[in-house]
Amino acid sequence: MITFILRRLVAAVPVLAVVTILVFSLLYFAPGDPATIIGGDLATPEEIARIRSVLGLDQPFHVRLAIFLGQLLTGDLGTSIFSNLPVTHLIAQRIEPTLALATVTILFSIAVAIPLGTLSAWKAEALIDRLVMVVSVLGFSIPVFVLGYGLIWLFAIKLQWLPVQGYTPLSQGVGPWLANLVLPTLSLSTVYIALIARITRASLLEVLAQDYVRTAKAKGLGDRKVLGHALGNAAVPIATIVGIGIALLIGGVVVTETVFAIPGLGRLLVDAILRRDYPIIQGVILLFAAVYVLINLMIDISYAVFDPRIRY
Amino acid sequence: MDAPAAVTPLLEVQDLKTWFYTREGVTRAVDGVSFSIAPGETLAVVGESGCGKSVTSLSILRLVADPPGRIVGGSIRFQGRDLLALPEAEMRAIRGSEIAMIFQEPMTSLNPVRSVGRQIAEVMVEHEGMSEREAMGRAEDLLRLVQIPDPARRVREYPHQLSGGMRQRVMIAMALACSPKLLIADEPTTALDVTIQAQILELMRDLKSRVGAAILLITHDLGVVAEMAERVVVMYAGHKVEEASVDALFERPRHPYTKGLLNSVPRLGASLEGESGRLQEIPGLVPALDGSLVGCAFAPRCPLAQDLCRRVAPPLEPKVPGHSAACHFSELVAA
Repeated sequence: MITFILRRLVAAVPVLAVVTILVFSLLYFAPGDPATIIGGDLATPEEIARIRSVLGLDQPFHVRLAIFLGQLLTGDLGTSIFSNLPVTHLIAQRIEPTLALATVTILFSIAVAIPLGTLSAWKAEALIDRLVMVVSVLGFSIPVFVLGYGLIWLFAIKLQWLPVQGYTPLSQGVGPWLANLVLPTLSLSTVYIALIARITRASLLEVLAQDYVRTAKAKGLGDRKVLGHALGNAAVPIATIVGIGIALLIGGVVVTETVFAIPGLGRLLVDAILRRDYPIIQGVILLFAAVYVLINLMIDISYAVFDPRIRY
Repeated sequence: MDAPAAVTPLLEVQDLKTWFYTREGVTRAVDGVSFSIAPGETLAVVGESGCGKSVTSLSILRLVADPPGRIVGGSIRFQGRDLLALPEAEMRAIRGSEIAMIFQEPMTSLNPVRSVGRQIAEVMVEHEGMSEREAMGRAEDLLRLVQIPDPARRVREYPHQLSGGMRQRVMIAMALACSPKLLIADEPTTALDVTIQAQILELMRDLKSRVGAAILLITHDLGVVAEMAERVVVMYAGHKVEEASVDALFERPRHPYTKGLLNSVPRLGASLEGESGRLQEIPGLVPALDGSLVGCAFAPRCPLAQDLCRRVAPPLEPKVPGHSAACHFSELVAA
């Protein structure tokens, strides 16, 4: 197991290297120039050329790539073109809201979706099952921002139960922190609840038809214990979809942070893209890629925990 | 013939009807089957795939999947209690403790993600109120009882680490955990290879004499019947077509279907060369069980069938004491 984890971590290095070079190339060839944005509408071509040479943007592709990679190896993600602050510093500033939103969303989704999917499978074809499935199709179909604005209108503006937008750090108390997270979490988790509930139902239905479930019933076990037998076997596909959900969450976080004006990594990334602030874009994407690789590894490890037949 | 009716039966199935309701219509998988088992007796139920024997056994434990299956008629009395009338909670208390079941597929009948010890222990925790720990200790004893080597290690292992024969031993250990009065074994050896089959049958016989449980043995294998059972019920197309002691049935079958089954088993020493030595198969297939059938269900495949057979279904009646068959021409069969 330990060698497996180490091997996977080592294998992550080339993956991240490819992501790095890809992101770098994409940004290099993409149209748009931070120098023209910094210079403003009235800048002369000479001024823009000067800004470009100060930022090192006049260097050829391979030189810029080499400089970037060299920095990376020392743990330096570069400096923001606009704020002149180190990218690592900017990321550290913005990571808490994103981490909070993502974690709360995924935990909330799991806590709601797995019981819902289980109920649905247990009562397959009954009214409650159909209801859950209809709601889950709706959950799939409503875009995050539509739901987000809808929730803001109802709970923050009409009922005034919750703050409209913004983020309060956890250090200022759990209450205010949660109050600000409720609406973003609700709007972001809908899709995941739908997704995880459907997969839970499907894999559980398959497992419930297995011979060992019949054996469990023939032993005289109650419904709960029979379900326990079944859920243990449905855990692997459910873990897979939760992992994919976490990976997909990155895209959802960007939209949700924009709707709810949360100063997280998503907002940092969107602002950086609008201003062609290459170092920030590269840094944030690289971080997302690393998180993705790590989550994949964790899912693979969870397989071995859930299923004794899987050993690395 | 010994008359089993003299003792109070342990299990008495009367006119059991288990039908399946699907979009294509109603399938009468079990359609009016009756039999009884005395305490400590071994009764075999034989027939081809699809004759309703497995559904019969699942019906006794009320484990037929509903939907699509439903027990639509009859009664199942176990120690005087009508199982079909029991509330689910009381039925659960009987499953695994008083009536235990061994399934056909040891490969798929055990939960792959739980240790075999836990799976055995679970039954005792459920029915005998044992602590998890105590039950694990008992599980180890049971593994020893079913002759699994190194039980202290095996008890912690998972099904995929055990061979097919060992898994079936685990199933037997699980079934015996609460010393049931009735053991239902549904094709317990079908999935195993021949040498292992013999060992498992030997083990079952040995344990039966120790525990004193009655066995309802579901099988299509007449060799197993001859080795294990005292009485036999032959099923065809959801009906009981013949019932007799093993000796009487093998010596003088009174239903052409039974005779066909016996003829399709190769005999040791019989020549397989030439026309006379040919292994005989029963031509045709099991008929549709949608209730549209008129007359004897076996008539389309029967070499003795006459017009009468295609018009009137023969009633099941005693032909000689202790031997009943459902055939208009059972004398011809026995001749």
